Amino acid sequence: MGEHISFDRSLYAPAAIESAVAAYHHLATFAVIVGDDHTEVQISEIDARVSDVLIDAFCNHALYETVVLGRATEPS
Amino acid sequence: MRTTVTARALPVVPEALGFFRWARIGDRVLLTNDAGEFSFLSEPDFRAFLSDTLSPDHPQRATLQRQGFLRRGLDVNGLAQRIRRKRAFLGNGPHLHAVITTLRCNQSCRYCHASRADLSRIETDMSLATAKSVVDFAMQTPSRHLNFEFQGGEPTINFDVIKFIVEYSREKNRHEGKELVHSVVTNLTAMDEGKAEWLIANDVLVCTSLDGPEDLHNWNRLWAGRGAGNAWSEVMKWIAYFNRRYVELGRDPDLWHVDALMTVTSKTLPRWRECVELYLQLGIRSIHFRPLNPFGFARKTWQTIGYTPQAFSATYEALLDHVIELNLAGEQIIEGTAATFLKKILTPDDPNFVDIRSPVGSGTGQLAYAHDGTIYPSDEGRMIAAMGDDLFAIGHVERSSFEEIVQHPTVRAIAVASLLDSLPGCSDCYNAPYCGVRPLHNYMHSGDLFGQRPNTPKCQEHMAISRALFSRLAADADGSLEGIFRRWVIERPRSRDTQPPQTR
Amino acid sequence: MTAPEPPSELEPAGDIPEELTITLDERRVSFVLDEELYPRDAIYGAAYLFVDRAWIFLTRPADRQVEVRLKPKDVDRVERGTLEALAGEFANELLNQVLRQRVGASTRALREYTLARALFTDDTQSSIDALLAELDAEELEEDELEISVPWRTEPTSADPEGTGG
Repeated sequence: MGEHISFDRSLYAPAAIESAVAAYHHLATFAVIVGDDHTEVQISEIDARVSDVLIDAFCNHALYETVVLGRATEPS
Repeated sequence: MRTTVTARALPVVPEALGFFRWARIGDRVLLTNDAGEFSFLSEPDFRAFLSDTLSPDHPQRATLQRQGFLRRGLDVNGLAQRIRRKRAFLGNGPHLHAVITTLRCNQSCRYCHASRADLSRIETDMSLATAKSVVDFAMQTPSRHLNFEFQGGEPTINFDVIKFIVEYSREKNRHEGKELVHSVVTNLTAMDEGKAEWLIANDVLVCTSLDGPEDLHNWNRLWAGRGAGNAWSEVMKWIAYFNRRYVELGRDPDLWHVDALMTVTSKTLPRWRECVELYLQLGIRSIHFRPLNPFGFARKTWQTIGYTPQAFSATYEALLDHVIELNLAGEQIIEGTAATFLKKILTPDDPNFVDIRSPVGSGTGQLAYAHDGTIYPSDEGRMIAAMGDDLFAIGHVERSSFEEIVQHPTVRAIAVASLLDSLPGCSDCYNAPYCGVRPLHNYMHSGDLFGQRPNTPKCQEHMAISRALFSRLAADADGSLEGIFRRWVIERPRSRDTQPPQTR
Repeated sequence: MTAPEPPSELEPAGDIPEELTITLDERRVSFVLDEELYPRDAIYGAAYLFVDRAWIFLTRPADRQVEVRLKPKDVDRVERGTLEALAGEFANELLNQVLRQRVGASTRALREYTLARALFTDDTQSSIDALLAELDAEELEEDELEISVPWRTEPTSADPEGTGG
């Protein structure tokens, strides 16, 4: 049950996805499996008040965190 | 379904160029750089600029070269000096010290949800012992300028602490030799002649809240309960009193007058013109049209007083154009946030406005002292604590050293999260030399110091104001608008030992 | 956990085509970008600037390729023209990002030197020889830069912290 998203590890940092989960954990239940090539996220029990946008907003947040993390790890 | 879209690449010879950022403003291209220099180019000239084919006798070539946009003939030392001047605030240390003399307040403003207490709560008054520690702590700042800004609650309810801090800091300053300023941000409804005469005699600058015409002001700023009166009438009465007394004492009214701040609610938006008229009638030369901080409200409250950033920006632009028209007709009135941006855009200096700089002033340009002596990087930190999250409590005036506070990990994190040169979206933004990020604002908005910049209300507000200013400058063929704007950025100190107040 | 591999250096390997093929469905527009032409930082940079307007998802359909999927947030205005306009704006922002990266890379050493000079009082600070070498590598005209005098009076190659002088 629920929704499944597969994030390519070369495009989304697993740590960024963890941060996105932390940001949205009060609105849904998340299960994350980090594989070699992809980070798999299973989302269930989505709060009905945000069910129309939660997955999209979660993906935007994961992208944003990846971009910020990329700055943090860039060589100075 | 498949189709195509077209986007035309720009030929570029990067080794011919200095570092610059750019944006399209109307039909012009705006270039900016680290020194805050800017130039407008037409689209064809921008292409020529990028491809190093700008003709030697192009009328803007010398300017572009002088400003540092072209590599050939670049005066690196001159550019470095201009950048150094623009960022002179970096080494100064905190200059703005907000002192919460009490949380008690006689008003219950609709937008003040977490930082006030009822009049009976005398335990929220700052003690004289804590006040002494605040002064002893604050005056360790390396900053040569130091502004004690009294806030609340309603700060004048605990007037003894105001008097003590003014007198004790002046006494202490006989040995420190700093440029000392004292200012009070007051609703003027707890004022009396004794307090007023003392503030005047002791050169304490007075800033009040004036949200517009009587019904609007009184709707925004509720005053109920024992002793309540007409808040707007009290503000009118005391503005007139102070301004009259300054004149009677022979002080220049352009320099000595009550300043006012306006907090915009949904009720203000359709009535902005009346607000401007009122400020003009009162001789207040600066209208500071400030949006609400959209945090911590119950949903029902926000539905009553709130609005979208787009609605604010549309009203702001209308007000800005009206203020410009008034100036063209000979009136002397400015809009406060525009003036802050214009100082950055049109002068070689930065006004060191703590909320709009890089890094933000929280902890490095300002500190806030709660009534119990707890230290926060800014008053926003105290408000967050009042909502139950003390993440930004960084020490106490009786137990922390100055070094511990300014080097506190939280202060460092705030600096990192507001350094525009490193932030995604901001580091490339044309507005970076003039803008500022408020991590505590982001934290309240999204629980995150960084925040998704395009989604944050402050980014939307700052970009709207910046675009409004630059689009008008781009269309300013005869320079008349720039002439007006240049008047807006002139600051005159009130006397040798005071500076204009820097209220938030 | 690790971040994605740092994006490769910034220079696109070839000419960027003026036309971008896009795929439209009822609510979404998508297109595939070649990382040889659009460095990943440029894709990230453009995508980040659209987080207020669109829901964005990136996938990798093949090696060195990135598919960008955009869905407008304003669901009341989703129609073909809106989607095409969104894709067009994104494509233009991508080009801006590529240009920013090229200018940023080309001016990096110069900018670092200028900022170091601006923010540190000691004129001999920073590893000057290394910066000179980088600038020379860009075939700058030394005389016109007017930056050689203070460097050459006190060579500091043995003193990279610049404490001498």
